Amino acid sequence: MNDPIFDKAKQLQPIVPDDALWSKIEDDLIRESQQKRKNIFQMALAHKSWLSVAAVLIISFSYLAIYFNSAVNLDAKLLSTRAILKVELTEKNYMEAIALLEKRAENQLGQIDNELMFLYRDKLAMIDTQINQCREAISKNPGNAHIRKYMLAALQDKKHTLTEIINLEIRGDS
Amino acid sequence: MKNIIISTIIFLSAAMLFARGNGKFKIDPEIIVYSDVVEVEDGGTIYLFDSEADVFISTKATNKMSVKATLEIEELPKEERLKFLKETTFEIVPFKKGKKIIFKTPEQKGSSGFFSILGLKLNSPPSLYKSVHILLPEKQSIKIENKYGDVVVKGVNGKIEIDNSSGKLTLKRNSGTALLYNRYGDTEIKNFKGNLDLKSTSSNLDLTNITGSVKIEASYRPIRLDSIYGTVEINTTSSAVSGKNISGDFTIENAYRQIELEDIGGSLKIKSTSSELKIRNVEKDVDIICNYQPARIDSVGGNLEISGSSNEIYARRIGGAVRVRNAYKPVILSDISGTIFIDSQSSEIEVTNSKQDVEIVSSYKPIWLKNVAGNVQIDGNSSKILMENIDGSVMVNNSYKEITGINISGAATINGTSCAVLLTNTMGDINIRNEYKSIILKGTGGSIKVRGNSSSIEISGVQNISGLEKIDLYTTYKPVSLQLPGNINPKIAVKTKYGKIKSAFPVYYLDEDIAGFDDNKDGVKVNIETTNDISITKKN
Repeated sequence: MNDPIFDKAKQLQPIVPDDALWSKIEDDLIRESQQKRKNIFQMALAHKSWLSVAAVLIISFSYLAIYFNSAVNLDAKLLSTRAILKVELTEKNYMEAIALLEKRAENQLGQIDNELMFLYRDKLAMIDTQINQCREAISKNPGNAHIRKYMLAALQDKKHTLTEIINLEIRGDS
Repeated sequence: MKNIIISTIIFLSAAMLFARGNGKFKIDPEIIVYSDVVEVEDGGTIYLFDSEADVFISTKATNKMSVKATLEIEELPKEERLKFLKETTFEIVPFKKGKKIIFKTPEQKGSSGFFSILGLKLNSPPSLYKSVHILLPEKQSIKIENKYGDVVVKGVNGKIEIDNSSGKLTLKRNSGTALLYNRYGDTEIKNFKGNLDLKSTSSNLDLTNITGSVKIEASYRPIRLDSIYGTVEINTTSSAVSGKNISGDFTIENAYRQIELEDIGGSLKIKSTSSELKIRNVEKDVDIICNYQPARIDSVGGNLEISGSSNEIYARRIGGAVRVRNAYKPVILSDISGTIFIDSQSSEIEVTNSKQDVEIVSSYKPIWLKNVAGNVQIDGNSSKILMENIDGSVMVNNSYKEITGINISGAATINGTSCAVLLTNTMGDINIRNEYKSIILKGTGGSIKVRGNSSSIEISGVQNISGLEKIDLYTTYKPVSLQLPGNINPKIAVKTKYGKIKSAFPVYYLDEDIAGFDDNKDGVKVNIETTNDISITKKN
């Protein structure tokens, strides 16, 4: 039995890849990639200064990141420059926190029992004396780990005391 | 312009990183060691002043003192270094009755600190660290004035005088006397034989195994005492104090911080403001002045006296007398061997297991007594009163709130203005004066006298009544009900103006023309008067 569809199928030619087509595609790919390279290069040439700035900043900040994130050894007798910087930043942070807490605590000191108020004022004055003494000692001996440690302890003490005052007031309210 | 900006950034970055330490990333310290050995006499004193160093003192069996002083200094330019070292002094010189160690570095000027936060060390003085190691004969005294350094003293037998600031002070295995002043540094003393006089500011104090008296003046940091074989006197502004195994008397003055003491061989005196107290095992008397915070006292061999104000007071197992003055907060006592006196307004009062008399002055809050071997005297005001198992007599003044007594072996004298009175099993004589509220007596063993005003009277369970016992009841407007045992032959006189009389016994109707009973004649006399009903029943 002759099926007209099978007959037509037998008459079809086999499909053969065209060599010219592959070389055309290859040429197109090379051309495109060359165009892209040229664009990046041109862009770099156009923004040379800014890239340099960015590179310097990246290097600087990388240094600083390593510099500040490494642990400070307060057991050392003399602190390294890196450690001093880090300790001074910590001190600065404490002082900023203390300045904020002082405002809140001062308002509340006026509202608590007189005896307790005088006690806390006395304690804060005593801590301030210690901070000032440490500060003076640090100005004469900046890398001495012992003095730095006691300076930090005094700042911590002050922060803790101010927080205690504020919490006292909160307890009183409740 | 761009190049200038870039150059500036690069310069600043480099400056920040390398400016300190004279161009080096880290301080490279140089260590210089000085040392000397000198002969010292027994009983002499070693002096060290203005040292600003870590100081280590220990002893050995010799007549010589050796000193090693160490200077650690950051790297300096050659000329600066030479100048610095030239001006540094280390020597041991005769001084008073001993030797003085001198270890001084040149006086340094402070830096401005303006650039310090950027790490720029433009005019900073050199950083340095000092330490002094002293090895000396045991029988020496020492006098040290130091700051910004730790001080460690071991094995010295003599007078130890140390004034230290911003450094830890450690004393171990020393003997003699110690006069110590430490500011802003912890103080640790272990195994000391002799008397200690310790002054501190913001210093944690830790004292262990001290054979001698201890005197402490402190401010804001915790004080811990363990095994002190002598008296202790503490005067502190606001320090938490804990102590155990103290063989002598203990005196303490404090504010706002907790005091926790255990096993005190002597007496204890506490004066505190707003300090929570926890006291356990004191062999002798305890005397406390305190306020606002709870006081818990357990096991006292002697007397206990507390002058409080607004504190909760809990005391138990007290061998001597207890006297408490307080207000507004509960006073709870148990297992008290001596007499008890409590004066506490607006305080809930609870006394359990007292072996002697109890006297209470109080108001507005309940009073509960249970198991009292002695007499009870209560002067209350609007206090609900409950007394259980009282071996002695009871005397109560009160108003407005009910008075309840259960199992009272002695007499009961009650003056209760507008107080309901309920007594169950009262074996002694009863004398009650009250108004407006009912009086109920269940189980009585002695004479009964009631003077009421608008008070109903209900008496039952009368027992052991004979001889010269008398029941004398007077009230107005309210009925009187009396139940008598069937085996007695009472002489009963009654009077009522408006009420009815019902009696299981023969009664005399009393009016103004009939005289009262002759108290000196034998027999139970019953005298009842009211303006309301009278009921007398017989219990078979």
